[in-house]
Amino acid sequence: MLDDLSGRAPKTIAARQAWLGVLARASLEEMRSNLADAPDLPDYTILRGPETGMAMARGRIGGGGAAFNLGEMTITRCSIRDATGRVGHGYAAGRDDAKVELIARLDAVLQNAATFAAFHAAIIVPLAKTRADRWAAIEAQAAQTNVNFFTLATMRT
Amino acid sequence: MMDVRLPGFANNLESQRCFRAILQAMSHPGLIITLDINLTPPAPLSVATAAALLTLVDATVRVAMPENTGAGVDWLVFHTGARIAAAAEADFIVASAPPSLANLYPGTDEEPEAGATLILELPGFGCGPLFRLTGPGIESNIMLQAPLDAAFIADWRMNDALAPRGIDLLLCAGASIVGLPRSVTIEEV
Repeated sequence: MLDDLSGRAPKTIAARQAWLGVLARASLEEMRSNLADAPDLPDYTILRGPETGMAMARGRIGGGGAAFNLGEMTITRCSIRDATGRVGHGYAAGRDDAKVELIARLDAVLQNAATFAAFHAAIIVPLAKTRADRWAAIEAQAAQTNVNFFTLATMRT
Repeated sequence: MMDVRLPGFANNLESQRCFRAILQAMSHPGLIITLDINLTPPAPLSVATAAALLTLVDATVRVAMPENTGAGVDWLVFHTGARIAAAAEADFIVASAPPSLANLYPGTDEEPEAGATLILELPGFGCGPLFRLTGPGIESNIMLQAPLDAAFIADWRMNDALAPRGIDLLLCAGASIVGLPRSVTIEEV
């Protein structure tokens, strides 16, 4: 979950990771609809991209817990510099150029203490809530099928 | 932390155009070729040097930029993924004062193509001493006026003894380049 950052200028890497994580998982449509409640984004210059490439996803999927190359995934990235001179980066799975460009623009305004609060409240908080609600619904559905093997557990001990 | 404020090439076509121009320069030694490119490089890199680096360098290449620190190096690494190395191990060396060619990697007899390329930044062409260039790719001879010093020309003769190994040279000034492959003989007139 997101830390409560309302009204404060985030300086930590963890805060930036949190908002970039929320943006990367959101869809372009969700971001655009939330943008209506936010101030206008400043002008920007593209430094790199948007460009699509591959990255090796690694995970601990075996029983032994060793890292394993799961497979390559498609990622798209973009870096911009906005009118205030801040550099924003956007990375997301898939090949949606417009989405990563918007993530990069939002990353730049979120680093700015003057604009952070407005954009955080208008975009990041609702997107995080949408995602949390979606997960809660999935978990609630899964919980209905949860079976507790009381008897077996008792017999073993 | 990396601080990159300037864009690289706007699209792949610019990179392809520069590659074509560098190919022309290397196959027509001594010919001054102006790059048709709109690029703002970080100081003190010239447009030609920056464009050549963006075109030729990727993550498999080692680059030495002994005279550049900070912005120039960050910019190159950000846009190309280049690995920064010492001049002796580098595939590309960027300098405005020529280093001793004997200290650069000339390749091996089995892999002469692995020899280093020196990208030399000059204030301009058409000034300084006049040189006569002869060798493969030049029908009889071609004249080039460039601010290269006598010590460097003497050093360049080392390439004759090393053949087929050697160092290739790319002269850059403003947005113009001159290619001097290792097979070219340079004599002051």
